[in-house]
Amino acid sequence: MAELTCQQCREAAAELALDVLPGHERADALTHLEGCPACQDMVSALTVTADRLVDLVPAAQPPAGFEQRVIRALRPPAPHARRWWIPAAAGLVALAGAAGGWILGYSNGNGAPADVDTQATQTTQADERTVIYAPLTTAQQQIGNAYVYPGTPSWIYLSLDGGTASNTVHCEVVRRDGSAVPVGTFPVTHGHGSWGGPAPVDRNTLATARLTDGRGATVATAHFRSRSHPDHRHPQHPR
Amino acid sequence: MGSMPVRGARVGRMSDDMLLAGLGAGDAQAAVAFVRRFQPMVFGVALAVVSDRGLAEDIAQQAFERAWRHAGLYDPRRGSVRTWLTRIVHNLAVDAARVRRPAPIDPEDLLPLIAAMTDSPERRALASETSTQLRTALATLPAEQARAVVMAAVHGLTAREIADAEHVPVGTAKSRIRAAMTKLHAALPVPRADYG
Repeated sequence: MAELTCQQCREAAAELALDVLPGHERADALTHLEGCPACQDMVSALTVTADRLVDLVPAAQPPAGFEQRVIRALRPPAPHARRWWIPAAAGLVALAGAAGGWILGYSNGNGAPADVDTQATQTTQADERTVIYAPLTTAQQQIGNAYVYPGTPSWIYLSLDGGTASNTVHCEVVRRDGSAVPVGTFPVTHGHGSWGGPAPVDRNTLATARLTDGRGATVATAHFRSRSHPDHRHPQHPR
Repeated sequence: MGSMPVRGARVGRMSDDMLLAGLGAGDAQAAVAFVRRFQPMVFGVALAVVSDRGLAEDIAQQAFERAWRHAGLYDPRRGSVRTWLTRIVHNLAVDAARVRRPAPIDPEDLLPLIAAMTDSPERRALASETSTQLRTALATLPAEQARAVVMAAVHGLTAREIADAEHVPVGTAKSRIRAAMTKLHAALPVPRADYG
């Protein structure tokens, strides 16, 4: 079949945006779109409309127990299966990035990744869209996780899941030049707590997230690697 | 990005983006909060498409598992977390419906869904301006166009399947879909490409 004209593509655009165009018609339309930015824009705009239509579908309460079943499903496999699952996951870039926390958190029993260097080895072409990860550690052990999104707006998310102390902790972001910016305070109960919020972080200058107690003593720190070390990134690939 | 959380907020009050980051990274509290926040939407979309509560439950669970595994694929520049998750569950549900659909959809069976999508006071109270405008535009479409676009957008029916259900020529079904989408798109307060 000859390549579609713009008029023919316009006629197919609604069905293409709704993802209901049959195979051969879809292929013809996509071929046209490859070389026609104007039609690409039109289909993109219609796709937004299609997405918003689905958003109008009413919510519904799932059956009792649904939440618990889903949470169980999001946990790692049984220990005997872990030996083959970890290398399999390590071979899959997206799965390794998304599931690494559960996998390795299970291995150290505290819900936190135990060894990011061996896990998050993937790289991305879109640095500005990556969440940066570093373990929160004391001098002896890992007690939590720190995630930083250096986008616009930038934010930080911290979780503590180790120890027994109950306290109010203060978080500050420390830059490579040594300057520190307080970003928030949150309670820790029996070693557990989490907090997230806006934080002025820049991928090129971020060095450490530091948690301190009310007296200024360091509770835990998360050391972020420099840009030249991609190992601590959790990528966000284009869909 | 979604709205930013209040400083000191608990996990349940964090932004959608943060919860997704926590879910993907393996944070148990974030996972619970994420599921709790989105389960009515996810289950609602699945149920609307497959019309079977058991199957909808399975699909909704698959959607959360997929979101967990692929949280790293989320790109905030391409839409909200809610839209991303809606696409996941909708695609799963449409695929399931295509496999098991026993008979063409009766257009009359769409009326309750269209009514819920166009006139739901409690949802209107919480809805964005965009949703309200789209809801109004859908309500003012000719009935045959509203059915056509809902069959395509929600149930994933092709023009031929819609034509079979409505007992009209395929060209007529295509025209109805196109006309409906043109009107709905024109109703949205966003920069629009010229098409028609």
